[in-house]
Amino acid sequence: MKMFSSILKYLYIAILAFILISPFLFIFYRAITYRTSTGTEFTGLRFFMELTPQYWNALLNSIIIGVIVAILDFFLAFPVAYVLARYEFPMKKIISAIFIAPMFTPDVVAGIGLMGVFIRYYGLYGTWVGTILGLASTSYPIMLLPLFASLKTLDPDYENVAKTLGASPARVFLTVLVPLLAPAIFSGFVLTFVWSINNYLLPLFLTGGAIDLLAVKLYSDVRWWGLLGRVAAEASILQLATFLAVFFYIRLSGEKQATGLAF
Amino acid sequence: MSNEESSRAKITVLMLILPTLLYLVLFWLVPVANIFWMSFTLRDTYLQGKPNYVGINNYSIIFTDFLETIRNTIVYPLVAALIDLVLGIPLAYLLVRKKVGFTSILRAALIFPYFGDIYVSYGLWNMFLPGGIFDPIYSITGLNYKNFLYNPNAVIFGFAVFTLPFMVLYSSSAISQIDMSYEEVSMTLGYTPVETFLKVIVPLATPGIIAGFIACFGWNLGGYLIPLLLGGVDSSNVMTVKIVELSLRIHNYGLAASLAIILLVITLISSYLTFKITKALE
Repeated sequence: MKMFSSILKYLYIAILAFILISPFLFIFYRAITYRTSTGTEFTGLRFFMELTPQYWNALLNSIIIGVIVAILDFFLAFPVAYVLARYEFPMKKIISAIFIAPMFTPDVVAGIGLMGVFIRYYGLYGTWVGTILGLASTSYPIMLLPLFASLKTLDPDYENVAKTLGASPARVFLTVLVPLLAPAIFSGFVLTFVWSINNYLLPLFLTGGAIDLLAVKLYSDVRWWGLLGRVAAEASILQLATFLAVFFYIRLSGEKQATGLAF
Repeated sequence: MSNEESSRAKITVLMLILPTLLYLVLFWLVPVANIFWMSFTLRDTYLQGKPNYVGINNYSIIFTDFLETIRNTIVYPLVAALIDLVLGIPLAYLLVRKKVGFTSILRAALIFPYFGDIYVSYGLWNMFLPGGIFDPIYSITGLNYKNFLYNPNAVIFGFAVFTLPFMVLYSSSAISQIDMSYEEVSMTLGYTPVETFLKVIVPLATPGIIAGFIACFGWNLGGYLIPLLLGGVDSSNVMTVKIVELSLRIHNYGLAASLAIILLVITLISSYLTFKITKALE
């Protein structure tokens, strides 16, 4: 009986793990194999070679935009996280809900709204600046949450002592807060970076095709050429970039904190 | 605290949040208000610079022709969230109480969906198509990929896979706060492990579970590529897909905007509920 239930238990987690992991692994598999009428042929990196320089350029653009968005997110999120963690004021609940609201806005909704104002008023449609500002607007709450959680557990005395000893606010920020909050900053940085490089919907609305981003190219290739090995190779590259970012992040910050899971 | 000190604190608070607030107004509030405005205009006249106002005409089109779209948008994520509930809570329990091995593999598997729906949808789609991993099953059972793909069940399955980690995340943090002694007492009193789980753990973790349920629902409301790829032509009739199609392909921005407003209202209600139950940022 006991053995039966433990077999059942492991079968259950094996099935769940398979369902969660297999879509990602199968994309890699598709990128290095080719299906013929007689069977499956191993193609190595052939499909990766088929990618034109345009794709590598798009990857570079994605990474540049991802890094800039993550940095911008930090400067948008940090002051708000600090205020919410350290000060009490009227209507705090509503104000904090407003600051988080962009995270819950579906990308299509944010996309159509930003597109409208970019074309009509801001003149940012199809520009790098517009794409970056648009991506940051829905991603900064992802940075805000870990920063807030760490600030909340960090003893305010560290800052107070530094202030008493005559440090300027800028110095307190740079020499006390940033080092002590490094894990949270890093985790917010990786999460927003990963989120930005994989976002295809917002850029689809905002770039108007003027800037090549890998996620957007991947999206349209998946839609029209989904079964080609080249597309799987393209997906693998973006996936690999994401894996690497997350892997280094987990290595540096400890797995438990990385996932925010309670086990 | 003296008056002077408290007014200085107020100024500090204001100075700190002002830049972000300004940014929020410019890049979230104004765009959203703009969608609302745009939803009263005909086709792409608003973006062309000479808006042709048609009153609530777009909304009446939606409430006559797009009712099924709205229904699907709500029903698919709802069913997916129910599946996550059933599949996710036992997993969360087993992981939190360290009743299974391979924790690190599972933990890694639970991060994948953060990468985005593009891989979940593209991967699952390829797996189900001929040449995927289900070929042996197809040849044994005589079924083909059309029994699995391009129907509402495929969309619901994709949604459920995508948000399962959120369910595990929320319910595991609720379960980890339950004192072990409750389980010990219930076992001592003769409950089996399954009974203990159903009658002790689940009721105690209910707030976290509800929050997880709403979070799963809310995330999938904005899902786009999963219904598009797994639902195919017949079953991708959800609001996100329609909004992209109406705006970027047909250039009927007025109608797309009014659909977007309705989607936004549904999302904000569900996220408000999550926010209220989880007491985030407190």
